[in-house]
Amino acid sequence: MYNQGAKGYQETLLVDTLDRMRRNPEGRKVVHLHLAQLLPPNRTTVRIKIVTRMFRTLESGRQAQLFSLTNDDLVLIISGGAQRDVNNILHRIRKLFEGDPLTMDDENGGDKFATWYDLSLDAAMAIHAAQQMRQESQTAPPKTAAAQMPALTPAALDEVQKKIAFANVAPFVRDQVALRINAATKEAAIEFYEFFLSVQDLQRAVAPNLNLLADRWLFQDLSRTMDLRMLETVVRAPQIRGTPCISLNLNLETVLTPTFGTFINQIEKGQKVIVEVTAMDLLTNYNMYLDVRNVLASMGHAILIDGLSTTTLLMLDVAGMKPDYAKIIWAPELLEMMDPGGTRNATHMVQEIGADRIILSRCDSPKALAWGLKSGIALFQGHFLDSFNKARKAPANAAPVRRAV
Amino acid sequence: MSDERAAPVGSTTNPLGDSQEARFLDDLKALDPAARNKTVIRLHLSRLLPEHRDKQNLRNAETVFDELTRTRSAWLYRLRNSDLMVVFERHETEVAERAMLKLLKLWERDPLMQKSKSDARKNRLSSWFDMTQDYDKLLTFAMRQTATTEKSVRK
Repeated sequence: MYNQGAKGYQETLLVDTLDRMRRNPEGRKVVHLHLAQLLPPNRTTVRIKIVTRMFRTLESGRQAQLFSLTNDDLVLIISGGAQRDVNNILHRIRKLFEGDPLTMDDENGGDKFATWYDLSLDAAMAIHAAQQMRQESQTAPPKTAAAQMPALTPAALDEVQKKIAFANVAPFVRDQVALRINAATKEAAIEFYEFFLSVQDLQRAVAPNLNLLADRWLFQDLSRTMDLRMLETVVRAPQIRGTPCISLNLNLETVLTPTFGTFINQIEKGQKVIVEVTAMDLLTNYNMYLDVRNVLASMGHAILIDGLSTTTLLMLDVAGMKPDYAKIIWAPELLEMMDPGGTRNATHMVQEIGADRIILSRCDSPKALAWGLKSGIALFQGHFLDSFNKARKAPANAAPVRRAV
Repeated sequence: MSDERAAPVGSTTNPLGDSQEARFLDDLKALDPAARNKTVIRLHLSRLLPEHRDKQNLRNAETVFDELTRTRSAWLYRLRNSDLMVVFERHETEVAERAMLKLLKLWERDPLMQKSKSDARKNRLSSWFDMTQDYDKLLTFAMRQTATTEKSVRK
């Protein structure tokens, strides 16, 4: 008997079932759906459940056996007669994720979404793949939800801060491109690279059993140390060489520290820095925001208000704060904020702030991109665009990357 | 999960890469008698004019069966002389015939298509076999092809 709660239970069951069937394949096939490779906004628990449920009728009719793997992938063993039904269901699933690059064919016309095996011929291959998945599931770190971990406490903060101060944070520095897309020609060009520390990865290294984000204010304190370490690291990062413009996620007060001054002195001549600050940081210290904005402007650099949601857009007078850039998080609700004639509709607010100053972030679907372009926005960020941006580090100064739309 | 297979023993080249007579033979042998409800098409691509037999055209011949090969409802085997063996499940005959018609249309100007270009089954580009009835014939063919290939490799 298997222990249903054991690591890799479904994978073990799959290997054993396939092994049993190889002697008598009876026209069965195996289809592996690579749901783990969907973009994060598409890989939600709800959507995975929807997909799983779509196959339940086949399962209850004993035409298919379903295996929900640890990494969210699904594997089905289907009888010969169920092929057409499975094809139809797969067609509907592809429709559900049609904006996701995973459902688009790769450059060789291959299918990245589903892999098929015919058990009469491919049993060995299918079993080998299942064994690999079993091994991966057994060695993968347990998926502990951050919310279930103990929160960072003031007592632990000091310890974590010390660890971050001495840790090599270079492996945790991530960058994401912001693209300028020409609405008329649909050409995309690199506008700047955003650098940030991956809190999740850093947490795994320095405090694997603590939820660093549980207390907003303790995290804010921690993030000051992270800012300083990031500045020291990014200046030496090979990615920033030859990049005309970079952006950094920082606390307002970090900009006024000597470390930031040193950073500015060390970057290449003419390189522009955009400092991204959160709306919350700005609201808690508005005078400091004004100081920082002026300091940056005097040096030829810029400030960006980060993380504007539909709610903060309605509450804050972003236009009145006169930032150089404002970053709006894409949400489908933006489509609903199109009340024509009203002063609080999304298009009006975009125009008020200045469409040329806005970056639409987490742009994860063609719908988001279309809304942005329609609203006059030209700067975009998001995994959806990253997946098109394979021409990494293209020459500076807005060299065309590729057709992104 | 990778869909790659090891190169068959005794293979030699087809314009698109290794030829696959040995794999064809292995797969035929591996098929359980109960799983022989399949149809086999031999696409005589070697009979086409040389200008219709370039890499792109040969690739097109494979691509038309994508709908079936993706779900492992058809398997393709390249032969040394550029011919292509297509094995597919009988219940997918309609899809296979549609694919065949596309190829007849693609090469409609080739003299090979002059007499028949509208019948998916009766034309000079393809020969159709029922795996249940013609299994022995296919097996002999595969053995002969593999032996010839191995001989040419030894030379």
